[in-house]
Amino acid sequence: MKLITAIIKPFKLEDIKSALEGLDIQGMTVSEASGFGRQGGHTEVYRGAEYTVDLIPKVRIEVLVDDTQADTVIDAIVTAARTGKIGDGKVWATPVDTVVRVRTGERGVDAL
Amino acid sequence: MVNAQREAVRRSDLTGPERRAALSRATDEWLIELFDSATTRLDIDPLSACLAAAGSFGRRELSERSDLDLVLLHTDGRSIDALAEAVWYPIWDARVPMDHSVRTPAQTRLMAQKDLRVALGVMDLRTIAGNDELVATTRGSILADWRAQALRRSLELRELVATRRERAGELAQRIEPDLKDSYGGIREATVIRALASSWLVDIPHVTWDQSLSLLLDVRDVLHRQGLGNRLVLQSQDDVAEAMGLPDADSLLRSVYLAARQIAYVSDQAWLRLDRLERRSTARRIVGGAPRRTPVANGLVVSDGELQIARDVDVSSDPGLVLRAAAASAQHHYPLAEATVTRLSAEADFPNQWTPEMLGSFVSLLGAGPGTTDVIEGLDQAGIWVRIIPEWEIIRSAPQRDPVHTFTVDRHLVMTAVHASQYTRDVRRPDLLLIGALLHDIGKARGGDHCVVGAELAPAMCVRMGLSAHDADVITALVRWHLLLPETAFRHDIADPSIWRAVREKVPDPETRELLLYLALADQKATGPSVATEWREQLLRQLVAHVTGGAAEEEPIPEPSIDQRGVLGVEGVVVHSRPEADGVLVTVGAPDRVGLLSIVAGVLAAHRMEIRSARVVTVGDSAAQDWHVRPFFGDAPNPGLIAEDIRRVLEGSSHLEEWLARRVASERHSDTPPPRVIVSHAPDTHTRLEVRAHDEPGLLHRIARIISEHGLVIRGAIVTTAGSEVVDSFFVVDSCGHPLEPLQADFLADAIISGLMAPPASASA
Repeated sequence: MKLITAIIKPFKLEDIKSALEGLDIQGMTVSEASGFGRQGGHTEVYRGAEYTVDLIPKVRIEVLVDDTQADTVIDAIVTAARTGKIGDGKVWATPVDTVVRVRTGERGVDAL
Repeated sequence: MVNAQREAVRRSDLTGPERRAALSRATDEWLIELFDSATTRLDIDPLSACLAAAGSFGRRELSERSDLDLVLLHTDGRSIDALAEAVWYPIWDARVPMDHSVRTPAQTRLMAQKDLRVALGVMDLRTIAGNDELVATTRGSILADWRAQALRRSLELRELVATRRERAGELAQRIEPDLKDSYGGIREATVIRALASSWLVDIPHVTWDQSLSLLLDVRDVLHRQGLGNRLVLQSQDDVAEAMGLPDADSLLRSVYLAARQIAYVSDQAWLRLDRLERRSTARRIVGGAPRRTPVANGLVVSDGELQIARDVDVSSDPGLVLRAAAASAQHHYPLAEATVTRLSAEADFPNQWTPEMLGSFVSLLGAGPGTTDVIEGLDQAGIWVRIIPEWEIIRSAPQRDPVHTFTVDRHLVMTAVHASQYTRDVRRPDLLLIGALLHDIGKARGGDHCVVGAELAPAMCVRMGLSAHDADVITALVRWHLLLPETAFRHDIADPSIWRAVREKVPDPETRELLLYLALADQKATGPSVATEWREQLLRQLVAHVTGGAAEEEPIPEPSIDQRGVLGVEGVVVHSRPEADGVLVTVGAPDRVGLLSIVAGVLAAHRMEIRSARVVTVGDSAAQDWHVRPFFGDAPNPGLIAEDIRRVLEGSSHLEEWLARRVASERHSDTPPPRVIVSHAPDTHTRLEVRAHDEPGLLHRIARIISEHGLVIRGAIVTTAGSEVVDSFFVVDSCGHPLEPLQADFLADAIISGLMAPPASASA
């Protein structure tokens, strides 16, 4: 099993949800995140006043999948998250030893 | 046997009080049998002991999962252990949860003196079996102790309530309320009864018994379903069905309304106790009747509470209700119970508000956290829905979404409370506060609440007396209050087409700015899961993108018709004429450094409330329009004002001392610190926009600070929105040039420091 983690632009969340639903993925975890990548911080001007944006708001999503689905899910996320502009984010996968569904006690792939 | 009897009740169709009484009866019968058979078997004199019920069992409010609170009272300790074992073991064997104790009446009294929880439990002591005199003696002594030490013990009780409230929250505002422990819940009834038992305070004779009964009914249903005292989200549909209610929303609304009533009765009881303590202290220290200090027209503070002044005809003063509410919230004095009762019975609330009423309304909304209790009090007294009839539908309307902390009505009040912290960030704090209070007014009516609300808003604005422009802004705030969050979180905020779409919906940059701060306040009032810096940053970035650049600078104001009449006059001339809601005072005088400060100070010294002002200078002549309202009584004669201005100009008046005393006598609410925004029109002037909380002499102090820097005020536009002011000063240096940026920043800092300094030293 793999835990796929993606840091994406916030407005791309709905597109990714739709893409994963299309792959019959049953659930994902979403959280607010802030950070910076290659683009670093930048300066905004609002009504004549400048202020610096150090950390860019992003969304972090996490999806647990079977090994066989991992590449497909990563591709789906990348396709849905891409705008072609700087700051589109990152996706990575990490191996997972055990998963347990709390309600039923099912383990492994059955718990996905 | 217990199972048979209790099972019979469980399986019966009985509900509500009948069910609780039947369950108590069945349990009583079982325990009587246990006690009687034990005393017979052990050959114990039944008159030497008594099995008594305490707590909810004592009140016959037993529910299926309630613990049995039992006390075995005795006078003869020799056989009591055997008797206790003979009674307790069958109960344990039947797996009925129980809190038990074995004590003599004297021991019970001692425990009650030491432990408040014990005292509260045994106040409801009731004989089940044995010698009833033991219970009567014990109860009598405990109640006597309670009354003798009532004030001290009430402090302990208050601490206990506060801790519980902190832990379990307000029942009427919890999406998953604890029916027993949350504030306004079943345990509150015990506290209220205890306060009543102290004979210190009367408990209002209202129908709170029915409210308690409803909470007990809901708890019965939860217990029958094998659940605890918490009405969790996933059980609400089932409980509603069992209660015969159409849906979970109806259930929650009923529960919330009941809890609010119980909480209000409790609040009132504590307020009465506070009053008693104050009177007791005042009598000890100064003696005699409490002082009555005027705080607003027709209102005095007496005995730590806001009261209606003597000889005020409530029915002929339509502004009194909102004036009282604003004064209560702003000055942190609770409205006296008799005042609320009188306002409820006698106040005639007009369908068309006066400007003064609108000002008081804004002042109420801008008072910060104190606003909540004032509106709750008016709501419980049935006054708030007369002020805003559209409120009725959203009263205690639940928001069954885990992100929401509050019901719809409380959410709106809390949004206004949070918006009051942003009043320095916008040019129209009044519209921000009104928009905050009304933004979800379309909820609980079906359909898209933004659209429904925007349909309701125009008529509400007309009733409140807002101008057509302001009504449009409020309607836009209600209609588009979700636009920025939806755009910021679901669209690419770096995409210019998205910015254009926002601009098309809300073309006015000031309205967009109001929407930003409304959205931030809305998030804070929704709950911690949405009030995050992450979201705030996205919202601010979006608005920065959409609006961009610097705002267009305002020109120096032109003279009005009234002002043209006094321009170029010799000496000081003052005219006045009545307006719909106050007086227009026009002052003409040769211009000099400090003139604006002096006139503002004289008007403040005459206890005139400055609602707005417009000041222009043409050549060496100044003309000033002041829209003022007297705090008390009638406006002074214009000749008197002119004379006082002349005396101050000549240096023969003690204006500063007089103002310092007056400012020091005012109590200030916890409002955000003042803010000064500097902008430059490169060829003509520097504009300083001062946003601050209003207080007597404020304008005088600002103008004086500017004058003390040797700068010239070419014009000024003063606006007061409720208790907040936004004053623009068009300033040049002594050579008539705009200020250097550093000089302007230095002046802005000086104004902020001057306004934040203690009043006496600031005015000295």
